[in-house]
Amino acid sequence: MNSICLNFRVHLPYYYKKYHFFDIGVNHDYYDTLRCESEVKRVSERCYLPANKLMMTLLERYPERFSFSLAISGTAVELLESYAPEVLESFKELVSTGRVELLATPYHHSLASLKSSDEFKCQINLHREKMKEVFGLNTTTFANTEMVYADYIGVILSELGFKGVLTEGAKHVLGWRSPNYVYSNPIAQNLKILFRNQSLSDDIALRFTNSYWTGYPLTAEKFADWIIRDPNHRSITLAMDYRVIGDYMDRSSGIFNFFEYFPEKIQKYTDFHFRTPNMIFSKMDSVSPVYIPHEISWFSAERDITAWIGNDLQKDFFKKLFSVEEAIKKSGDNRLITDWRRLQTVDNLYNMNMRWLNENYLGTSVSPYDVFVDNMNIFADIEIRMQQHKFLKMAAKRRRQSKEIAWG
Amino acid sequence: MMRVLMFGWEFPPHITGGLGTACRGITRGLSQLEVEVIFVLPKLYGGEEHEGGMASMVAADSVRINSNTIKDCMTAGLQTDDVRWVEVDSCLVPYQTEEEYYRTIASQHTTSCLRVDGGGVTYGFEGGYGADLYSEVYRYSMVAGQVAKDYDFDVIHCHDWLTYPAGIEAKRVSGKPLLVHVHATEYDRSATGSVNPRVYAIEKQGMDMADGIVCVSQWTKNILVEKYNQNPQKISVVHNGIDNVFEAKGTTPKVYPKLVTFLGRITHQKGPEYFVEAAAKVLKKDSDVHFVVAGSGDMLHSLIERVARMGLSSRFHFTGFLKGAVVQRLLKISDVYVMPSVSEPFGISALEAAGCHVPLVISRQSGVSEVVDNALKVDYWDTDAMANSIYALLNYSGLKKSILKGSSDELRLLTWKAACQKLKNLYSQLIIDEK
Repeated sequence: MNSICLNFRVHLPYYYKKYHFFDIGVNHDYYDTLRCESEVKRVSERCYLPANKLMMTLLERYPERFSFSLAISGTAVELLESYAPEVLESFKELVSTGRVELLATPYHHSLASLKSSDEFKCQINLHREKMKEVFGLNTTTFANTEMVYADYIGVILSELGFKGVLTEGAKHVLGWRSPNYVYSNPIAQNLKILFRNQSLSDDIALRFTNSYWTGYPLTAEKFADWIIRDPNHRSITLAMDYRVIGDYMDRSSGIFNFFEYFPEKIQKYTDFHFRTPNMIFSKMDSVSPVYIPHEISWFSAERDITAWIGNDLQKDFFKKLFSVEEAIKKSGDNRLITDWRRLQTVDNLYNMNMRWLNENYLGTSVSPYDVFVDNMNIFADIEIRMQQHKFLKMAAKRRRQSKEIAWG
Repeated sequence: MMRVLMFGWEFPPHITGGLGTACRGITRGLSQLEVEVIFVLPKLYGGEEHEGGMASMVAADSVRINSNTIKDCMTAGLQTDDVRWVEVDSCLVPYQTEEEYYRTIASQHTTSCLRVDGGGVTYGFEGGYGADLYSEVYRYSMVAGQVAKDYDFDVIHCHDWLTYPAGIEAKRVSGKPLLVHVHATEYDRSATGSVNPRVYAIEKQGMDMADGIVCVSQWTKNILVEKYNQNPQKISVVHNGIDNVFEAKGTTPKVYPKLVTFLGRITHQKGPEYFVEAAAKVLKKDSDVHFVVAGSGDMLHSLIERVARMGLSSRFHFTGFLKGAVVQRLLKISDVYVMPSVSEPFGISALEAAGCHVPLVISRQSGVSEVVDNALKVDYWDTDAMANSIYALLNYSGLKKSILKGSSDELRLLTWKAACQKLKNLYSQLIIDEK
């Protein structure tokens, strides 16, 4: 059996207002709701609605052969619930065909896996509950934020009962091995690993509109041909952000046509099926364990985590954020905990990146320093709210104690 | 009655530093002493906070210049060997903040400097401290010649190098005595040692051509004698004053019990890195202190990175450039004000802080330390002493109380009126000498 495993990430972040020093301790409203709404609507119109329509057509056209998976972040679901419920409905319709697998992912699209296994587990559970509530499905495969993975993360996932994980087929990890097989975690051997085929995925996700690229223009026929020529075409894992279809790559680039005719072209070679990670894990066994001592991701030439936790600003922000984890959770204030978790969203860290000063994917030219100052100000406000809780609790405890003494 | 033709470059509320604040103080003070001021600015933005009375504002961009005047200027003294005016498309600019940089970039395509109508021309001015600063300074001096013809006055008074060529031209046209007022020198601004030779040449020419020099501190006077080769007899020290009106419009609740404030351009001159070093030392003893860095400048980004590298970001707050009522809101919630300047001709902002009842830690390398005794004074490089002073003011309430009491008494004497009385005497002296 030969498979194509098609996976899309669906994520939308919360956008923040300019949050000044003078707002600290006074104003607890951090979000730019107008911007959130306009971004959600813009992305929905350009990508989610037409792409979902296309995927529905394909599911109907190839009832035996076509399926794919979605990793929808919790924040994306929340924002769609608020600003574009019709989009969420169309996602539900896709899922209800039974041939769209939902992948587990941290609820707030966070990199908690790098810092706190406790918080990591919390976010996975939150996401599981949300998926159950909205789509009525259980998730069995995990895809971390930005495909971040290392051996120790695999161990946690295995403890949580996941069958398998999706991550980047980073060349420095795989070496001579092909990404087109199923591998396993060396410590928790029951956890299977599916590696993203880097070059084929990026042919679509990065190079599709690049007219200087030798492969340009990429047609479905050409792409199908490349897959067949790969001598190890056992199971080709393609993964990218859903927004590639129609948003990052404009409709005029022909991206919709590409996806529409891709199954037809690959169908010429009758032994190819589109399968979700779960289907692949139940059909294929691991060929070998792969050691991944250091974190890998699907981003940047280095395929590591330095795009988010690389420079001094990012490191300090990330460290500060998790330094209050315990106290925040103790407060029991759900709004406070949520505000803290939203700050973990990887987009915040990415916007402090200085390597590509002009191409952060918010599409704005906000300086990483401004983002850092704003984020730290918000963090300062969160810290103050946290301390207020502590004082309130202490006061309540003291009152109780004095009452107990009074009552003897 | 005495009439003064005064050339300035900025005026509140459209300011980027202490120069504008000083100009407001001087025009107000002189008005109280029955001295009439004709204040020339490159451009009026509207809303300039002068209080009618004796001062009248003239915008250089609305002065009509006869074509004869221009020819006159071109051929006369301005193009000397000492100072040559060449237009370049990039330059180092004092006081330039980020905001202005972007504004300049945005306006570059729209600047038209010459408007011709009828028999004369008017010049357009950007104001501020844009990239085309040198040619603006030159055009400003051309306008000055016309202003000197149009108005009647007894003495010319100009503020800092940007207006020196204007003063020289006005003197040439009118023959009236020239007083240059040194609020800062190029040696202060480029504390790292790379003095801009063009600015230096303009400054020196202004001082050489002047009939009298006023500077804001003994610290500056020493620089003028040492670096600009000026005769100490020609230089008078007139310390800045402060207006005792502090009415911030809004208030900010005090969120942090211990807040230490730095306010100034984030450039080497102001010593922000010493502030950070001292803060780190304070935080080792008391982790509950918060530090505000209010201002913008070429070192802002490296400073933010430095703070992050030290892992102190949650104790530091960067507000960007603040002015007007917002500054007072910040001062009102501050517990200590630190001015660690490497070379500070005066440091008006420290007086403002003291006026808001904030105790001061100031560097000895500043003019303000000559007039304020009730403050903790340290050498800018001695971050141990700086940290010690900050810690003491935060924790020993007796010290804070006595310093505040003493400084408020001192402030009462540091008025603009007193400073202006000295200026008025200087004017009289110059006018008598002239005759």
